[in-house]
Amino acid sequence: MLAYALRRILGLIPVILLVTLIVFTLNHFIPGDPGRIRFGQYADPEKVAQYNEDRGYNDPFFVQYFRYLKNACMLDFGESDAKKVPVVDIIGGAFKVTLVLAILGIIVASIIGVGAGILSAVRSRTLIDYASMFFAILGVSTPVFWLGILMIIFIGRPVAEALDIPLSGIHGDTLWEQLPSYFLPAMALGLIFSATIARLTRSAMLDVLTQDYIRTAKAKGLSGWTVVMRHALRNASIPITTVIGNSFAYLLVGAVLTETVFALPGLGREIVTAITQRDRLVITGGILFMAVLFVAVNLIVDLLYALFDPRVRLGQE
Amino acid sequence: MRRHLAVLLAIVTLAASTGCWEQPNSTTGKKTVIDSKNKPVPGLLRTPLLTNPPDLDPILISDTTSNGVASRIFNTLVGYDAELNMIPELAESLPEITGSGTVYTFKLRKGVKFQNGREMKAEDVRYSLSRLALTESKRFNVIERIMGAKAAAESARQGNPLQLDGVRVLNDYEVQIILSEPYSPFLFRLAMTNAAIVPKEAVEAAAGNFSRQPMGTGPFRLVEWKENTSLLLERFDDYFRGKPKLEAIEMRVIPESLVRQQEYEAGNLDICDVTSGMDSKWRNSNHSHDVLEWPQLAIYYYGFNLEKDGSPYKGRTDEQARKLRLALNYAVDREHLCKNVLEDRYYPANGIIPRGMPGHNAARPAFKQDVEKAKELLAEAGYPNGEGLPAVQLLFNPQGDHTLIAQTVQQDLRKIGVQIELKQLDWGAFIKAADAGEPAFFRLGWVADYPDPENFLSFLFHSSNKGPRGNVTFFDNPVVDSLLDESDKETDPKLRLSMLQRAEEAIIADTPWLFLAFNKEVILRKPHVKNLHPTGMDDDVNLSHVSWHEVAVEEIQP
Repeated sequence: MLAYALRRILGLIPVILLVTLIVFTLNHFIPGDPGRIRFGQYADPEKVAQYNEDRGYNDPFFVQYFRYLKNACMLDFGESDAKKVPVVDIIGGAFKVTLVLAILGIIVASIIGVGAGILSAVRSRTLIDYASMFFAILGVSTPVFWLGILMIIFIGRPVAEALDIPLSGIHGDTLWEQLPSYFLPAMALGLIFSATIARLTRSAMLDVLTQDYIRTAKAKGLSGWTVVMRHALRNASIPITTVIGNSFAYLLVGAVLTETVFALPGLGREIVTAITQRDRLVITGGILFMAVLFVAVNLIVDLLYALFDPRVRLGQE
Repeated sequence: MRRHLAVLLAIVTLAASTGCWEQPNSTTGKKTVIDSKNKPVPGLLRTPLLTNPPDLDPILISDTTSNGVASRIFNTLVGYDAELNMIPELAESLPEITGSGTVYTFKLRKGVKFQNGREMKAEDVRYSLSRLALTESKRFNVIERIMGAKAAAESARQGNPLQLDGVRVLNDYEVQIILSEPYSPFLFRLAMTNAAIVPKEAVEAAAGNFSRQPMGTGPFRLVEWKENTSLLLERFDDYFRGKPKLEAIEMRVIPESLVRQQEYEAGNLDICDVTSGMDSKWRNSNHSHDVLEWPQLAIYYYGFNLEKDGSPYKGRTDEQARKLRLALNYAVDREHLCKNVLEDRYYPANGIIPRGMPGHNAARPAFKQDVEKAKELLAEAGYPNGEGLPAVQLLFNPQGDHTLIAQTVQQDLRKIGVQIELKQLDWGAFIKAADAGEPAFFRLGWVADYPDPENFLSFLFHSSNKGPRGNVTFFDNPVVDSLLDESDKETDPKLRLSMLQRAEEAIIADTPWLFLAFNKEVILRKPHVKNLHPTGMDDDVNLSHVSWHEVAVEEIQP
């Protein structure tokens, strides 16, 4: 298990390096002058040139790249040209919002997805099954930002007014006060991701429900829902956990447009702003952070999978 | 499964209870808590911001969002009234100008207080203007005409203390500014927010973070700033023009236009922008009385690069090229473009100096479409029915109305046989290419920094400003240069204005642009918002030239 974990962690290093190289290369060659971002469009050319020189932006590409890597290893991602603050502070502040949104989104997705999946499996080939799978396919096919906009236009206002929650933005100082602000975006994200979870739950449950031990449990006289919840769901939970874990990784890095639509100051929106401003160190740092996060969550899910399922021996004979 | 969910819930609850998830809040001080959901609150104005303001330190401001917020916190020595006439602000009166237009002596108002309670004095003026010479300053051009400005900037670059020789403190309430040479538009530069007067102790106490802890003499002070989320300004009771009528201004960062509109309709915002294509929706709705529009001091044009090798438009004095440029001007139906295509959000241009600006020539008719005349000129230029004319690319950035305008112009030009290709580049790449003189034909616009024609004519057409400094058509006419230079030295306002108008005429005759439209601003404001009178210098919902101390939000009578 330990050897497997180590092997997986080492395997991530080339992935991360490749990501840094791609992002750094793209950032390096797109137009945009860091000195002008710092001092404005009509700044004195001498001052701009001096700034670029001092910051090493005139150095050869690989000199800049390896310097960036060296500093990144010490968690120094440089300073934003536009905001004049360390990139790590920008990412840290924005990530808190994204993390809360992702956690709430995955809770919504899990509750709706697992619930609908179980119901579909138990009531297989009935109207309930067809209806929930219809909505699941619709959910899988709907872009999340579009659903967000539809929600705001058509149901956001009445829901916000009825529940006394904000329509957009974050209101309040502590997380507890802010939680209602996450309701609509978490619903939008959760509904989309619940579709995948529902389809997978249904399929996993259908597999399990035809097993002999389920028949035995029923024969013992256990009630229908006890069989489903205690025996079937428990055994179907491994693939469901995997898909929830993977969805969580996607939620952490894929809420860019949801954050923009609902005016949440999260990491995705921060990166979009940085892209429009050509703030190259924030773009590189932000994407690198997201990439690390994504592979880390996937790694954790894989390791949990191995831990939960005694049948999996992870390459061992 | 339930265990996993319980763990996730536990993480959220723990984080909530420890309070470690507070939004970044870079300001300290009292916070006003106002419950303003779905209903107007008397005394509280709720406005949207399209982006988080990058900087509120006056010397760093170079964008309209920051300028709008900062205009409520700071004051300058001189400002404008509702008709954009120059008026004294922190100065007691307009300055006495002597020394053949090089010496400006200001008498300061007595009893003006900074938001920390200290009285503003002449030394603060010297300090604030000197700061514009700092290396990080984005607006050195505000003080570049002051004697010793270049030396001060060089000295600051070497890390020496600030020393701007041209600003002299005569006594606590008198300050003298000496220019290196006469420059008539100087006062306009002093009216820019960048030249706002700030207290030295607050700048030093902020330790490099004055942008996030700004302090001035303005009607409102910043009490809370949640990055990327909202800013809260609170009334400054000791404001020198009297206690502001509003108690607070809440500004929420909402990047998505549809969401801003929904928040406005839900009653959570008192002011809202009107995005492109939404005019008729608002004008034909029950919010039609909320629509507020005014001419903005801005122009929208397509520039011809007059020095681009290989371009058929090249050569200011080349008569054939000039006729070709003129032919294109006659081919475009600006009336249809502004009224129908752009839903009346623009006025057809009749020159360079926009409506509402001193020197605007209202008697000159707007450029009209005349297809026959255009064809005639095209033939005289050597391209009968467009034959032999290479298809030139029109470079533009595809935001807002730009694509729609480009397509309409393309169709109009096709009617006289002129083919243009539309090439889109995003703003960063676009402006870099334009500054470098790469495109032969390109879209651009100009919004006034101050209400004076010099701000348009000199920046955009003086030969010394070619390239990144503003003159991206690479226009070079010694007569225009000379008129602009002379107008800088002229102290008689009438004579000066007539020089600038002559310069405008000369530029129009050379036709370096395909003149298109003057901009119009349209916003929504709720009926309970009173005394909000935007001027031509106001940009969208940023409203940087409104008399903020007079704006009020009144109680709605049932």
